[in-house]
Amino acid sequence: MTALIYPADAKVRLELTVNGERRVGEAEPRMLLVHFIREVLGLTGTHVGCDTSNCGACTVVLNGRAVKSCTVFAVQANGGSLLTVEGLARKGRLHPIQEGFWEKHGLQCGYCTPGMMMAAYDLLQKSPNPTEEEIRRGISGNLCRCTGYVKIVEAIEYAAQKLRSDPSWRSGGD
Amino acid sequence: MDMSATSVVVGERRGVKPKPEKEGFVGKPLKRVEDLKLVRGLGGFIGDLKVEGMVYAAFVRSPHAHARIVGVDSSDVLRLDGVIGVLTAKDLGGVGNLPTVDEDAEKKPTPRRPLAVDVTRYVGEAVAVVLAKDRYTAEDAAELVRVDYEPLEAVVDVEEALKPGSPLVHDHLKSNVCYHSVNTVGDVEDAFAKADHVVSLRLVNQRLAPAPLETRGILASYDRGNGELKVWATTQDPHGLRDTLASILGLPQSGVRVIAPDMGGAFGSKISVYPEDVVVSYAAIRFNRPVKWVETRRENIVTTTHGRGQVQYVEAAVRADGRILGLRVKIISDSGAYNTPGALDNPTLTAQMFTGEYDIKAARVEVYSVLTNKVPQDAYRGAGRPEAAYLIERTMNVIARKLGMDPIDIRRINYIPREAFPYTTPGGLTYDLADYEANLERALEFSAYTRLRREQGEARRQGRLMGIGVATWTEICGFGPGLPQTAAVTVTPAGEVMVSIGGHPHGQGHHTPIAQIVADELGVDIGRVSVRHGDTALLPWSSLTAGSRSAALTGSAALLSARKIKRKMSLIASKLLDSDSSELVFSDGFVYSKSNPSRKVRFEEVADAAYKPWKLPEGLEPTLYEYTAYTPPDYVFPYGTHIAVVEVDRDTGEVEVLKYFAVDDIGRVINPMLVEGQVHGGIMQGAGQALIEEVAYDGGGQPLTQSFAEYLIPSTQTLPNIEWTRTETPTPRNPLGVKGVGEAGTIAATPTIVNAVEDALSEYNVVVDRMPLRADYILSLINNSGKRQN
Amino acid sequence: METFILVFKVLGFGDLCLYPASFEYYAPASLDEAIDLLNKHREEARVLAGGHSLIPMMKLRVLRPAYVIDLNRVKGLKYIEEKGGEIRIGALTTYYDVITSDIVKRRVPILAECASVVADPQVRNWGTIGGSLSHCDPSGDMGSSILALRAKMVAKGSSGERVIESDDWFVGSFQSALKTGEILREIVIPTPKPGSGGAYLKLERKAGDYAIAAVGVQVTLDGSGSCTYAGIGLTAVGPTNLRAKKAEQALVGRKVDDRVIEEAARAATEDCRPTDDPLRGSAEYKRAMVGVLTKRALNKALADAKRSR
Repeated sequence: MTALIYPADAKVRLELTVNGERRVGEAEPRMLLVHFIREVLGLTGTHVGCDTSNCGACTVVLNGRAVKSCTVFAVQANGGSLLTVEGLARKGRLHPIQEGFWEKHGLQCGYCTPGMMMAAYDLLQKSPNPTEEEIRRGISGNLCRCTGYVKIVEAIEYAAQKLRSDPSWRSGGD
Repeated sequence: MDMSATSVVVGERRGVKPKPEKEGFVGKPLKRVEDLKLVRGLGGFIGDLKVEGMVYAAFVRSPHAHARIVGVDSSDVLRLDGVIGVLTAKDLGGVGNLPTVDEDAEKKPTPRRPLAVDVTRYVGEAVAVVLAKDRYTAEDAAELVRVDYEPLEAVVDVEEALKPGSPLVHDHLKSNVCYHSVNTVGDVEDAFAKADHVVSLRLVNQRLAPAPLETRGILASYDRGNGELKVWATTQDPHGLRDTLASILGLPQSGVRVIAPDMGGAFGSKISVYPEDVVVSYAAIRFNRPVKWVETRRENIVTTTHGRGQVQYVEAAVRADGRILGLRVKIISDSGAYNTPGALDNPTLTAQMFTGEYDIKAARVEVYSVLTNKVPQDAYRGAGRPEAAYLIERTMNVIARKLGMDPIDIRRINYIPREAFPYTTPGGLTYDLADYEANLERALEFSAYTRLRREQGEARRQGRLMGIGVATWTEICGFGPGLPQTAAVTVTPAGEVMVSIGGHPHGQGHHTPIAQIVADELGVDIGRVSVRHGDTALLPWSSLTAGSRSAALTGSAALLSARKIKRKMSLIASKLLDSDSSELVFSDGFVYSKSNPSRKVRFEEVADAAYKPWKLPEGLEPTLYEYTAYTPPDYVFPYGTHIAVVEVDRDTGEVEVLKYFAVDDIGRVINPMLVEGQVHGGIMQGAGQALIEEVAYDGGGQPLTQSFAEYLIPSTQTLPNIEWTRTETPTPRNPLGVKGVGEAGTIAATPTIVNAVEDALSEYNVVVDRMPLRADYILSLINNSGKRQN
Repeated sequence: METFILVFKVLGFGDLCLYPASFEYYAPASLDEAIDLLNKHREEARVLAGGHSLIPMMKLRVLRPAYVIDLNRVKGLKYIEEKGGEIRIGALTTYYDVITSDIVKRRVPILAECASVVADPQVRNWGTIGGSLSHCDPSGDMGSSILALRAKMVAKGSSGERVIESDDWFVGSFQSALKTGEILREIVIPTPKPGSGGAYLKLERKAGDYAIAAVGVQVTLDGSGSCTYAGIGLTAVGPTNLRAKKAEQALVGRKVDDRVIEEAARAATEDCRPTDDPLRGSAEYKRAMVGVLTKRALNKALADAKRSR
């Protein structure tokens, strides 16, 4: 095996599984994953909030783990598997996390929401029955300027309960 | 009642649905209609929008707080592959200045160009713009613009800027004072002569960055054929932006259309017109290409307007029993580098609201607005009222401590009594209606205040620094008699109800409560009602979304428009049903005869008839469209009581908020779930100011807080669960009886938490005189108190 | 001195860019290949592991390497194993892997405690131990635990491997002992003896922030309650992570009671070299906090040590 080499200004063809589908797109090596997702794949649900990996608005699940996609180069995701907010719902059914945010008023402006939900997704994969404190820690890398977090915590409690009681959601989302 | 914080049942939070006042949608905690889009990632924010042929802008900005521009050389830029163009100040000859104040005896205007010409006056001030095929290339190009600067001495501290001999931010003004006023009411000298105590304080409201999660952005596209500039922008005020852009760019107002897409928060920072709005719009015309720019977070924290930034000197004349006889207040507001209309609103609103809920007969308030070499200030959630509440609620706390009184008692003694309303304040306002005592009582019961004090006593015996803080706040909102808001209702031939509202919500959730109001009025299911906003083509005119005014004004405008629709539909239905229009009832999707309910017609049949002239009563104009520009008779004044429990780590100075209770009176409530969300978020921002947020500059005006790594905003760890309930005193000043809630929490939380920390430190007898309450500052208060044990 | 303020001083303040400059991207399949590439491009190249230290600096354009060498396709750099009295951690092991490792929890819980206060869950999912240690941010948390544990770093270069003691690793701010062309391959921690305990305590402006100050403590007590080993690492109070040697000396060979703990905490305040920081407090404050944190961490570590004796 030898090194993959992608020259600086040339576009690289990337192939990855996105929300369960094979997707192909081109990116310069310097293109950040979040820009690839938004500009090339056209999935604009993933947002840019801070550019410095502090706010978590750009959180997606890459190869099974939540990541701030503003701090990964798109080329690093080549061949990988990506889950974005657009891939949470299944067959027209809202994911329990989405449902929880809606039911419990877990969002106001909605800008942090996709990243917040993807962080919640990661948390609930690791810890299906979290305490309030675990939820607060689990989403501590995601900033919301609107809600005061109380209702976000309730939304995730709602989702956790629903996921535990409905086995059809249990097998990962991607 | 179980006293543990988390078990208190608040409204519907624990799944207990409060009973609506009457059948209908108003008063119910309905889920928001826009959420279905947002939770699926299908929102359309400015960054999501694309137009064919669009290019991307990047700005070249001043690295100096104050400098003369010696030369700008952009000749290398166009050699870079993918660059479309570059503009500097000299290319903007025909473009007008950004808004400033109108000159009068008190105000001094400061001319401001969209791109700095000779002098830059704050770090981040735009000097040039480059356009390229993508943002990465645009950033590469921006690096190639060479600007030579000759640094000038900068003035950063607002009180330094006030001193004679300070460097001048604008040479043509003789000083940095850009606004000065004095207002005296009652016999202030007599009040101080009669006082048993005079309490003096210096308080500082630090500069804050509004920092909505979505930064600013604009996409401008010019249609040469029709001569129309179409602008998608993050704005709280689409019509305001339209009119200002038209004026600055020399276009007819009819030739500019502004569309505000979904917006990720604003908090006041998306009201004013920014240099980038003008430059990007101009570039779209000049290069005949759609141009898009979205702020980076660093640009947002450094160049988007800040808020608060105010130094306050307070002297209170107090009688031995705690009654305040008079106040002397000096407010020094940090305007930043330009005297923008928004910058001036902050101190002038503080000067109107500084007496809070208290019956103070004599007061003198002097206001200075002062220029500094920092980004201009403007509205930030509360705009002047958080500063006012901070001023008076901190003062009350310090007086109570000085007199050895409970902070509750000092407030009771000074409240404006219930029977005194409507009540005219020294700030010149007439409060509508309030019962402060009743609200306070509810808060004491809700928080189990006496028990909290017992717990505090126990904690102190264990050597723990536990504190309880109280603030009883009021604010001015529902702006205002001089600023109407608009809404229109259309009923389509199929009976669908379309509501167009003025302003532009950006997280508040206007769609749902407006639909609740209109659905109730027309007696239809809420699913039939849709709400639109944020496009200047929708309504003849509208004003901004700001100042907790939308429920009161937009809600009233929508209600009145729906009433007009109903009146017209009654006339149509009366012909269809052959009954008297005055006895028709709209309910459950039908129009009924009250006297004979079997005579009824479906709502959509009446709607359909409205478009068929032959079905109409004689003389009635076809179609169903009604528009209202609602102007309230006066402002409204919500109020409330907040109580926080904190603990201070005496070794590190860290502050932890253990419990937070709030009881607000915001009048009638349309959707309690949304209201609670507003309160929670507001409290969190107020807590942010008290605990962690601060825009910092070094002595030369270089911003030290440039990203969320330095400028901290609250996270899940900042506050515990917030416990909230309310009292209800509907205002007589609008048809809905609603006041306003958007800023309530922010206004209340800051003094509440600071008062709690001061209470925790009471054994050290210190006055907390700055924010945020950083651990190192708190520890220095303890260490310098002279009472440090061990 | 925290990362971003330093960055701004290097960069200047006017350019508010957050888009990286161009670079050529390499994804080598083996460590040898990566080392060859690094030797070929030398100072023009940067090694990418988790990316959570490198990429932010590239976005600020404070770093603009012409070549980025991504290690993530190199197999066999992600493991935690215990063998022959040593715990070996591959350089690409993430914070999350450390936090959830049974070996770590059982043998060196200080590492899990330390990793769990680094930034936030997403960063811990992707940020790597090797990347963090190579970055040598004086505010980095891992470095202090490594010092407290007296770990060794295994660096690989074109002429083979060499072992670097943790005492020699932290050369300066953002400067490790790695020579040009070398890559950190593995971290080796001597397995603490029975009777050991550790703690990492961090004072921060807000959860997930860089430390105002933090202290990592690892101690071993013998059967009689005497301290046979003490390792103390300090975060964000010097040009690098620092080892608090005077404080360690105050403990070793003594029965540790409150008086000794006070003495060690006082010594730690002499070991640290903090600077004034406009956002996180004065040098004086940080110094005092080193004392408070050392005392608290020692109490916690000693309680653990007593339990595991």
